[in-house]
Amino acid sequence: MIDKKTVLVVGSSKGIGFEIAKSLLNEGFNVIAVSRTKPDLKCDFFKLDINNKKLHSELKKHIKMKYAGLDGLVMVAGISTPPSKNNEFSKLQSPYEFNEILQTNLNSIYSLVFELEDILLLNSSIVFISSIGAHMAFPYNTAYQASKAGLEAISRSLAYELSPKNIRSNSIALGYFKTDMTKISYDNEVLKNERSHRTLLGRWGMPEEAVGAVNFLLSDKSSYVTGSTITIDGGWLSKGL
Amino acid sequence: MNKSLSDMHVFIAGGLGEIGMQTSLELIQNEAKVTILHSSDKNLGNLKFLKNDNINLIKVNYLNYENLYDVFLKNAQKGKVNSLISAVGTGKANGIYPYTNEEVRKLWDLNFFANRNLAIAITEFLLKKKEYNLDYKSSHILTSSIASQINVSAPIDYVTSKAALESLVKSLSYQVSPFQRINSVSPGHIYTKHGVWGRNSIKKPKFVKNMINDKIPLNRLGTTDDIAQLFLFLLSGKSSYITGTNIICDGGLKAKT
Repeated sequence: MIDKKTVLVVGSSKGIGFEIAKSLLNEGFNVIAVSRTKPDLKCDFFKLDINNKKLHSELKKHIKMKYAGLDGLVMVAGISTPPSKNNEFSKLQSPYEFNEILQTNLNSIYSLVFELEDILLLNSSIVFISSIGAHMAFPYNTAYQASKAGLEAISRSLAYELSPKNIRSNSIALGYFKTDMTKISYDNEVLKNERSHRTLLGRWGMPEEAVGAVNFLLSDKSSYVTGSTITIDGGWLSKGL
Repeated sequence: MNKSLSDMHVFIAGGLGEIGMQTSLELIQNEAKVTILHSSDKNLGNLKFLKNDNINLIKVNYLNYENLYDVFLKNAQKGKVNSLISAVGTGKANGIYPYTNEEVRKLWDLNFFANRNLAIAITEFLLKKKEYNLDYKSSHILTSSIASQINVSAPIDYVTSKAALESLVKSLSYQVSPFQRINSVSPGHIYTKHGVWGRNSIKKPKFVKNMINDKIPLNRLGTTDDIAQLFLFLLSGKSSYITGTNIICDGGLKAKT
């Protein structure tokens, strides 16, 4: 166990976070899964709602007690909610809804990185899961897009700030993947096909197709990649109309 | 060692350069077949480091589209995933700004037209001959530069040719999807013995040291292996949902700039 690299996956109970944790386990990493519900994986688990910042220090204590530190940190946790239908004057997310999403997707993520910074080992790697929404407009989800653009900015800043410890920080901008978060549109044939046609590859991504880039960014093979964003979208951003 | 590339045959254009050689080495270690394309005999001596039955060597004219198409037609391997990695390019311009038309033409010929011909020739060939594109896994990679995105005091005509290359990749990815993928990579300042940072490290070591300290968060020049590993990732099935994009490998240079 001592020789294995230790990676914390935040938001690991389902979807892409689950696939990432599962793949890292198969690759022989020590995986600490962090989420509100326990994933069906044989690995260390710490129950955490990322917005409960009081527990961030408890998570750090847990890691310090069992491991020498972290070799990798993968931030997948995030929420995406449409505007409520209560507002008859606007289709936009209300400031309250906006704040809720920013709180989870940006503020809490940053707070957790801040808490864990001093247990990130030399040469460790941070990966933030972003979205093509950080780079283009989608309807009814201003907050999500703002949060992901902010996340990429955090990633770039950390690449600079943490480089003296040779800690790397990158983000992955995902297109449409089949996950719980996108279940409503995937289960709707019209929306599913519409989104497939927006990609060059003519299909949705499968969660396991996001895993390769995460593994690459966590490995020494990407030791000169930092402050970058890798887009995994089947060519959505390139296709245009 | 990753053995997942044994079903691949990769044409490496600019394959006698230092990045091309490192890439060939990695591919062979991962059991891929390699065909090195080169336009000059200058670096043939490098091949002694790479003696291997899995390597084929062909001299080509990058500016002759028909010649390149013919090379792919005659040398692609049936039943394999045939792909292209191009490390063809130069940032070296003779004279001073504004460069002569002849010098501009040389830069654009090598950095843009050579890559344009290579990429279109192999993708057109594979669109016509699907048996050379096993399971539609062909993935091509062209080499751009961080100079297309930020000012690194490179010759203007080098910068614009690399920006055009990235645009080519986007447009071509549309043309060949969903049967083939194509992406570009933008290396930052990479140390190669005979490249600009190799020469500067000998001639102006203090300048290089200061530049690294001031500009590159990871505090070092990149290596040929840094780029080769990124090529291999984009070539492999691990990047199966990535196309039409550009990935930066610069030690944080752009993020800090």
